[in-house]
Amino acid sequence: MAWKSKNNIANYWKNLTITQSDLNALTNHLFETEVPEQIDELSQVLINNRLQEIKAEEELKQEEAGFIYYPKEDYPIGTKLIFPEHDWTSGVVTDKRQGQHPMHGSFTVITVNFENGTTKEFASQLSNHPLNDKNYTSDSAGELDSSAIMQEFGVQIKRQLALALQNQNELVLIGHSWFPKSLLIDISVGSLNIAEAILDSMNGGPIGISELIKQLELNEQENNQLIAFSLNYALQEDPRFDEVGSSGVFSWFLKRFEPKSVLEVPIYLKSQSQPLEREDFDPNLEKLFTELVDEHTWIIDPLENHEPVKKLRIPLSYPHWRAGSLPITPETYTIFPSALQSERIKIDFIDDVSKERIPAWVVRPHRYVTGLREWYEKQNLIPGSIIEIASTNDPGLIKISIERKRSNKEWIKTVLVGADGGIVFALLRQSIYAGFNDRMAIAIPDMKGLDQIWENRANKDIPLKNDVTRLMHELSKLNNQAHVHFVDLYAGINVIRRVSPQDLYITLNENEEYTHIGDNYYHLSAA
Amino acid sequence: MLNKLPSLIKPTLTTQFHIDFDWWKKQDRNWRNALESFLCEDHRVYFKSPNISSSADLVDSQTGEVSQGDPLMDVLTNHCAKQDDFLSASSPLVDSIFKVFLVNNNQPLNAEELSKITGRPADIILRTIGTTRVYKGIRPI
Repeated sequence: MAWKSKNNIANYWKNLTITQSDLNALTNHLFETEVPEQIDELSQVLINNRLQEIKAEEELKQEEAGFIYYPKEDYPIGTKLIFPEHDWTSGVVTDKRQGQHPMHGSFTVITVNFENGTTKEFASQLSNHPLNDKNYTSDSAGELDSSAIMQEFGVQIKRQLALALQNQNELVLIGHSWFPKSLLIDISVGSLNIAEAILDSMNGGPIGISELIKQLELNEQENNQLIAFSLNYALQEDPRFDEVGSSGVFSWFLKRFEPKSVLEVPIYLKSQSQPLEREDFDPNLEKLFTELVDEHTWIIDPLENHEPVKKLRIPLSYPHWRAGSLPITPETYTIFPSALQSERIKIDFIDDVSKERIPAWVVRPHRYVTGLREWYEKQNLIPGSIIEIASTNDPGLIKISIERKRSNKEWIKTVLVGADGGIVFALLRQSIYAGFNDRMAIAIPDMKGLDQIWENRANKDIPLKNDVTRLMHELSKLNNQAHVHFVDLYAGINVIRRVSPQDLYITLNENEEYTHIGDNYYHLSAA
Repeated sequence: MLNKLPSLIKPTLTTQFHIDFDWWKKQDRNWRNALESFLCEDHRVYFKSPNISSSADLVDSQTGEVSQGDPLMDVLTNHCAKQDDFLSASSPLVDSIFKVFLVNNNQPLNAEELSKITGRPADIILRTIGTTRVYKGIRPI
């Protein structure tokens, strides 16, 4: 019996391959319901379809294998029987005789030859026996509960289904929902041109889909949901428009009005680093990396159920400070909204103290939120300052705050840019206005000088090791033992190039020039 | 050595007992007659008839598989012991205890548990079945 083993069940769902027949069944389902459905709902339909297939297959197999043995039945010689209580083995009735027992009255004893060559006798036409009340079909179906499968294997199934849906063209994705393309209403180019004009007059938007339908006077037809769906699809397929609504709300923006830092990744945030799988990672290293809140460290799987985080403190690295951005990591992921379709989402931060609203954009594919440069300047923040963000009831509105300090002077690593473009780190007393991470705090008196360095280096392929050695030299001067902490080095090197914690860690640990002396401290090995 | 320990230890109120059928069959030639006395009326008549076979088709209650064996125990435990009047208050103490074990499929019980089922004092039960004399195969485990 294929489904007797739990391992079999797990393997089946873990290694599920979506077939054309699955996709056809889902398309038929959507044709019947005429309601757009999300990947979760479609996965449930897929599971139910597969379960029905499996059940039918098992019934067929069972028919071929024989009838399930029940003591009450009469079995003629030659009948093939399955014995669930004998590990589902099967055999053929080869003889029958009258049974003898003072308690059972009249019954029959059948002789069964099993496939393994053994012969056993069984009671038949025996009406009073506990086995007669057993229902083996429902036992088997109980093992295949669809909601339990969804709970246990939902992530893998959704991932496979999402992949298969991306590679077909009968169903189209609008927002998070799939719908048959052939059922959509045709939206004319003229309507889309008017939509562009409407958004142009609004400096790009955004405009909600209901308002847009109203302004385009498309709402006279009967099925409003279908019109909304069709218009969303037409806008989505037109490169002039961008869907920027926060979770669950369709909202459209004119792409040409989007800020440069949204359309193009700022030079300070560009990275070739490959994010890592968090599972089975060394716990100490995971802690060290996670505390740095770097968007390039961990893989974010949108299909996984992330534990919602309400509030988070983020130490600002130089690249984010300079770009006026914040990183999207598995931790910040749930605070920022996910758009229905777009890779870019328009949101507002709200200053927790002044209640000032700061317009910003979530740029999901590149894992940053941009629009905070002016606010950082206004707050006199430096790289290393700690920002606190918190979600609100409105997914498109995020609280932002800093740990306020009275202006005082602190000894802070300060980057000085020489006339030759070289940089020097020195400990200088600097005015500080916000709470900061001791190791990541760096004062930047000459931002333009550093901008020039970034520009000059943009097209050069300077090996990371060269910069690490240079920075180690610089930072080791600030420590009596010439030791440099990993976090100091991470913060320092990110002043001149975008480096992820893992890339820095690999460089430090794979080169003999650097010696790890414990507790995440390194020093340059003696030549 | 371990399997001899139960007979060497003086039973207490928490010592568990059961019917040791193998022991009984070896020690008492009248075991079959004694068992027959617990049968219901119909089956007592059946087993008294002269042509009755000592072997029958015993049907396994879990699998339906048939094996050959003495039907007496099968009938007694699966039919007669399940009759409403099987456990009567008027039975002698040893018979009452014996019947309790037949009804519960010979699951081990101590004197206190037997007392709750039979309504007889636990110390009297212990004094009866906890001595060196074995009644109807009822022995400590």
